Amino acid sequence: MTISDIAPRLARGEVKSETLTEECLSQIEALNPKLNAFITVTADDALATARAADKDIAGGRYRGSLHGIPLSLKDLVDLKGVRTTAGSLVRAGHLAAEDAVVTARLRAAGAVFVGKTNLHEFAFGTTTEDSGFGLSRNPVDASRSPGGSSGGSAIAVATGMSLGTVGTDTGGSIRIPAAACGIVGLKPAWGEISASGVVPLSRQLDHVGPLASCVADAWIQYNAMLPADRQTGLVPAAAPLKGMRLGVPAGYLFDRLDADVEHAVNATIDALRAAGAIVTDVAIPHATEMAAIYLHLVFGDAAEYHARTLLSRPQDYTPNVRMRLEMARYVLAEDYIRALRGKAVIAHEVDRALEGVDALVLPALAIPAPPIGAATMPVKGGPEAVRALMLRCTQPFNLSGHPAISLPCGTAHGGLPIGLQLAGHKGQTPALVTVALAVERAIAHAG
Amino acid sequence: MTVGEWLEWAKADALKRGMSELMGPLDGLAQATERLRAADWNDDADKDTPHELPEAE
Repeated sequence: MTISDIAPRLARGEVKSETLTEECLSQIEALNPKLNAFITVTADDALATARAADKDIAGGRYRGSLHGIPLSLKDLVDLKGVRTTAGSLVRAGHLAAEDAVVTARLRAAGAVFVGKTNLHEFAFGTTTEDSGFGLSRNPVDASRSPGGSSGGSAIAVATGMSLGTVGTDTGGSIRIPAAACGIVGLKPAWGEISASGVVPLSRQLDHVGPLASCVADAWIQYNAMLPADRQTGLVPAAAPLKGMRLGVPAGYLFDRLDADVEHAVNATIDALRAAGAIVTDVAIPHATEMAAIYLHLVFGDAAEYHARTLLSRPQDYTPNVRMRLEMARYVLAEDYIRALRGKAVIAHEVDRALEGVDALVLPALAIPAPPIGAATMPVKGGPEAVRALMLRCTQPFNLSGHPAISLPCGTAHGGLPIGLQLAGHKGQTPALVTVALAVERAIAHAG
Repeated sequence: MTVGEWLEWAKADALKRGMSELMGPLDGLAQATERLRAADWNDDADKDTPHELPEAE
């Protein structure tokens, strides 16, 4: 069930928000004990909001495509009157005094919030295994991670626990779980959507954005998250594939891929070329330095935010996240500055790679969802660290700030989803979405 | 401080705080720091004057 399909029926009164909300709450009740996607379920508030939405719609006060739609929020995002745990016992007693800006905008659009979703503690990880509220499981294969850090959000959408959700993305935390769970994840450009009222990991790399069942649903949520004067309403038309110019950042971003991922992504690129897209190789010369840049920036920023609580209540962090934060404290200022300069270099190189093309096309996630507990995965004949593999293809666009979107492009062994990533020009997220709509259609046609 | 000196200091400090599990991860961080310091965008005080700074628009 997609927002795009159901919204017109809600508007016509053929479907009730209360019914939709009850269905989502039933899914949560049935699946959450196994998958652990939600930390907090706001059933009573959701049903009251849904009934109010039904009354408004029946009274001719329809607000648009999100009116009466059940959504969830990653539990880093403030929802007034509800705790924001950030997946950590450090914040278990927190109660949000106000909505985050993004929550308030979605509320104004008529959204119904069914609850707050699980995440890798403080968004400081890619698997949603380290949470003070227990690990989450992939809905396709419960022995696997759903990806992270917005793992609970991705599960919620993939299983119909909510029809859309809000995630955050510092190194890939929207796109990675979207790819691992077979849904769409949109990271807008840096700063495009307010992060006010969202627990930070690294303020200069954090992005707020939607996870959704399809590209059109991602657009509907993204549009409602924008400031009112920048919202445009209608889902844009797909860009024509014939003549679309796509750049493939060959090299580093393609050289550590699981064989099934490599095959699916290359087959998709071939299908796009066959449909009329003009595909060329492009370069990001310092791609090999991205992991080192990212590590120093995230560590420096996280060390600052967690400095006091790491000293006063270290026992309330999960062991792995605590260890990462303890290590983060040792980053020197001079190396942080070198990383800041490297970030600017990467941003410039992504701009250059995008010159003359509409979007970059590459994998979203180098591997299918990893087994829970795996520290390494075999790729290209050798073991590679899972965390590095999962961040590899997404972190460039956190460093550069360009908008990027992950969408499903096939399955690997065991039916595990594979994600394709498109990255667009800064300030042109709507144009990227028009490309993604066309690519999504082409993938469906090829499949 | 060289990366070697930093690593020695960081490990000693971690051990003093009873965090021996940080030894391996600190080695990994040191490798990343070496890579960062070797990058060609870094300036040196006795090399060419930096020229890449953009003008304000």
